[in-house]
Amino acid sequence: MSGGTDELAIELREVTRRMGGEYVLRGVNLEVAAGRLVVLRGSNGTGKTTLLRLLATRLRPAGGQAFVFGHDLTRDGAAARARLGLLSVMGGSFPLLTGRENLELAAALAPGPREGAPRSDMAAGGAGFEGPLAGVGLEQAADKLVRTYSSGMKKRLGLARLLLLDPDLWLLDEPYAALDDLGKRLMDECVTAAKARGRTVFMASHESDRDHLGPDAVIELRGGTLRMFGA
Amino acid sequence: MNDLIAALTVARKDFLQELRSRATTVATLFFSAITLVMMAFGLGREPELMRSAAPGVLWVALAFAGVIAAAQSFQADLEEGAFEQLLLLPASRAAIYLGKLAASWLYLFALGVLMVPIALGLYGATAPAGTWWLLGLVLLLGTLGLAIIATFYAGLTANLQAREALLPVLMFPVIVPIMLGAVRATEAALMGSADAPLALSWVQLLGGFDLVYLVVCASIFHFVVDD
Repeated sequence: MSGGTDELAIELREVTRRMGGEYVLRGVNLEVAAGRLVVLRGSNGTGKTTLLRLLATRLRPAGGQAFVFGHDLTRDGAAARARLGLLSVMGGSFPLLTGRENLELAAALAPGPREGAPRSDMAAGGAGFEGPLAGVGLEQAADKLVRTYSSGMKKRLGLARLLLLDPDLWLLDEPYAALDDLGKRLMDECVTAAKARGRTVFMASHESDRDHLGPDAVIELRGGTLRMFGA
Repeated sequence: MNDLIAALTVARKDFLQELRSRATTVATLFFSAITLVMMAFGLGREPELMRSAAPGVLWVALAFAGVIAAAQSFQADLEEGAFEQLLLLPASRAAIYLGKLAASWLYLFALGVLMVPIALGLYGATAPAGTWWLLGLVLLLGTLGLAIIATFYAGLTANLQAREALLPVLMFPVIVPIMLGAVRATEAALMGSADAPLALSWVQLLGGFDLVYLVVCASIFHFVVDD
C-alpha cells in the first residue's frame, strides 16, 4: 500500500497485542503511504478498534514496532499524536460542555494550524468555530450541551473536531455508525476533501457501499492478521 | 507557556462541568457536614475533648471530600470516551494533570473555607483574632496536598472496576504526612499568636511535602494515563 510518496504515514512491523489474555493482533505488518485512503474491514471483535487505538498511541504494542510518520509509537508517542486524530465510535466529546466549548478545548490543547489546513482561516475562538460546526450541520446546536445530542450529532461533532484540527493522519473508527443519510454524505465529503488536501485516512468501516470513495486499498483484519481484500 | 494554557484550559473545563452537574458539590458538601456532625455525636459532651478534636475532624472530613471530588472529576471525563480524546491531543500529560489538580484544589479550598467556621462552631473552638491568616495558609497548603494525591490516584484507578474501594485504600496511607502537618498547624493556629511560630514550622513542613508530591506526581502522571 505504499507508493506515490516516499513518506510512510503508517508502518507496522510484526505488531502483536493481547486483550483480555488473548492475542487480538498477531504479527500485523502494514505500510500506508502518506496521502492514501485505506479502508479496514473485519467482523465484530476482530480487533479493528484495537488496531486504531494502537495507532492513536492509546494502546502499546505487546510486540513488534509501530510508526506514524516515522515516529515510534512506543518511544515518541507525543510526536505521533501531534500529527494524528481519531474519530471514535462514540464521538469522544465531553457531555457537559457545549459543542462549541468542546471545539474550543481541542483548539486550545492542539498545536497551531498547519499549512493547507482549513483551520488556517479560523480565529482560535468564538465565531472561528462556525466553519467546522456548519460543515457538519451543527451550527444550530453549537451552544447546546453535548449530553442533549443524539448519537449521530455526537459523531458529527467528533468530525467537526477533526475538521478543525485537520491532522495529517485521520483515524476513523466506524465513522458511518449512527449517522443518517445526510450525515453519511457529509462524512464522505469530508473524507474525500481530506484526501484531496493530502491527508492520510485510515478507516475501519462495515459499510461496503462506500466504494465510491475510491479507497486506495481495502484490507481485512481476520484472525489477528491483515490480508488484502481489494483495491 | 503552552503547558500553562493547556492546564488552565483543562481546569476551566472541570469547573464548567461541575457548575453544570453540581454532582461533586452536592456529594462533598453533605458528606463533609455529616462527618462533622456524626463525629461530634461520637465524641460526647466533654467540651475540652470536643475543642481539641476539631482540627482532626475537620481534616478527616476534607480528606474524604478530596477522594469524592477527584473520583467524580475523572468519572465525568470518562463518559463517552472524552478523556481518551483529551489524551489524544498533543498537550503534555503534566499539563493535563496540573489542570485537573488546579480545579480540585480550588474546589477543596472553597469547601474548607465553608467547613472551618462550621467545625469551629460545632466543636466549641475559636480562632483567636490575628490567626485567621494562618488558618487560611494552612487551608491553602493542606487542601493542595490532598488535591495532589487525590487527583493522581483518581487517575490511576479511573479505569478500574473497584475504583471506589481502591482510591481511599491507595490514597490514605500517602496523605499521612499532609494530614499530620495540616492538623498540627491548625491546632497551633487555634492556640493563638503565642503558638504562631510552631504553626509556621508545621506550615513549612506542609509546603515541603506539597512540593515533593507535586513534582513526583506531575512527572509520572503519564505512566498513570498511558498504556
